[in-house]
Amino acid sequence: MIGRIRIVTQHLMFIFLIYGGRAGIKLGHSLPCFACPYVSGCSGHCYLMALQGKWGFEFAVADLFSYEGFRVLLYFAIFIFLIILLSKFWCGWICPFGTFQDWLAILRKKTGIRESEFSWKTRDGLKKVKYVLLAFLIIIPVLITYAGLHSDFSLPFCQICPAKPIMPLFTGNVDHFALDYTNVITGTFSALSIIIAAAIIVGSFFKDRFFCLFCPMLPLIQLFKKISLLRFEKEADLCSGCGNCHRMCPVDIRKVSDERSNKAVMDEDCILCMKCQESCPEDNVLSLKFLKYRIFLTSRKYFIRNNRS
Amino acid sequence: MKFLIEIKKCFLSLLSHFFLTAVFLFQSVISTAELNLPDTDIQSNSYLYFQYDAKGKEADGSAYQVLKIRTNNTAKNLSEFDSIEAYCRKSSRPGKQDYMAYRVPVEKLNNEYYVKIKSGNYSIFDVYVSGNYKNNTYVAQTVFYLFGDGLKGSTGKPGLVKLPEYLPVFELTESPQNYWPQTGNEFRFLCRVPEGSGSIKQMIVIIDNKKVSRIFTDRNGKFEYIPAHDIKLNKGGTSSYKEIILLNSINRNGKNYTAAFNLLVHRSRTAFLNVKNGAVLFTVSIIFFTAIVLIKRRTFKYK
Repeated sequence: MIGRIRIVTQHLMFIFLIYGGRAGIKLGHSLPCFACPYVSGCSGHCYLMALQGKWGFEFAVADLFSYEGFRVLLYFAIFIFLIILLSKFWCGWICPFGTFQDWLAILRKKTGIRESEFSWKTRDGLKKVKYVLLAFLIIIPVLITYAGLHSDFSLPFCQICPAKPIMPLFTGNVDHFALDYTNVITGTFSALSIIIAAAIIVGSFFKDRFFCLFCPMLPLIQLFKKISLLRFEKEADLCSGCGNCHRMCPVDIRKVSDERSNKAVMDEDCILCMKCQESCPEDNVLSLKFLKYRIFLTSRKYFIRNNRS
Repeated sequence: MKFLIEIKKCFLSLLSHFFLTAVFLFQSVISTAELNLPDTDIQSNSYLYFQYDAKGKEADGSAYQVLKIRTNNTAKNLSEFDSIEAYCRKSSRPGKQDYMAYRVPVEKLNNEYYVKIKSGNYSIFDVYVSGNYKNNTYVAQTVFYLFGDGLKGSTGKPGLVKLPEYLPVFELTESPQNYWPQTGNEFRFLCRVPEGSGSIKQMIVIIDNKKVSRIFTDRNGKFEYIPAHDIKLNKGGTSSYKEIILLNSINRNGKNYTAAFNLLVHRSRTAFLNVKNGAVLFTVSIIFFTAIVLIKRRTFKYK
């Protein structure tokens, strides 16, 4: 049931974010998901672009009390508000690039190919990449503004983001798959972008939500976990320890099954797809709350009904 | 029968080929003749021109562009000009064909003359400055975009005046509808000249104070100019630009009118893109990464 609602929502959000701009919808520059600004006619932009560009850290502190400074703070405030409001729902239910990865996973399942698994050591190693990318996208624009780094390094993450060549394909634009021979920097970035896009497509085919392992948006969303209106909680005393939640998780999170003391179990890599909640066969173990209102509570009855087919 | 039709087609195709070749040769002869014309006054003339200077944003979010007013002839000091007047046309889309403009103050700082154009919203500006020196009238002109995004959308409607009729202005009629004028783009100009001055048939292209080429009107009376790609711009980064001066001159009642249009171009964003090579790299990468996964995995089918 939840899975179906999620699929419908994902597709509606995909259409809304990719083509919404053509209907005059403008959601601004603060979206906490990969709504790629390189898609012409998109309805909103990923905040990572604003963060790397003129509304990010390259902005001079001296100008903070100007209208431009107000804009920087305003976009950041909207970004935080959206995170507090919907938290990781942005990843599992709204992000168009996440939906694209889910399509590849569906294709793999339809062809009967088993999902690849990483060892915990590999996985923990890969987890660090997202922090490197986050540092990269914050530091480079600052170096351009204050240390004279070549301006072709601007928007460094966007230049290698796999969404940049892939997402515009849905509007018929293949230009971002081109090698850019303007100069050495543009050539290197364009080649890297294409290679990374290919790696992510192959990776996402063999491994659910492969790119989410490296997504620098996730740590940013996680920063505001404690003040988020959405709460993902576990009653550890009622858990039988069956491990279904871990097995069903597309991003291999162990925290939900292993946690015994803390109530809050939303992991940094969680995309709130709710597959763990759907697969929990026990009553009242996992719950998702919006403020004090319960959105979902696991139950044996739901589990049986959901898995009857 | 079919054979005869094929022969007829071949014959017609050959005929048209010869005809086109003859036309091409004739045009070459004509253009060579024009190019070999002795230098006219244009080249020896002095001219007034805009030079792009500081660009930025004010604290209120409005964008500004400073344009320095220069003369190519160092012997001619701008302070010796009879009058220097600046006008500005503002529109939200390119190619707006009207001659209503508002006056812009010409400021002086450290013996340099300049105009500062400011906008609280997204606008296209057509800026002119005219100055008289002895029996000559000089006009400098340029077109640029400003991306103001301020609290005040507009600074109020300035009083509009009609552009003085004597100004031999350039109308950028068919520029690419793009905020990023770039090398390789096709720019088309129409030159409006003072009434009774005949028509302008040629323009001179000046880059870095050197005459680069001469362009002639087409059959519609328009000038077409495609700025060549520049390796310096390509290496220079996203904000680098090149200023190209298009110069024309006309004589009316013994008085010279010289107009210089500053065409600011950036490097091309599309000319050096190669989708075919990108697609090959993408395919090779897909094969490479798939092979890695296949080698590293143990099995691929559910058992």
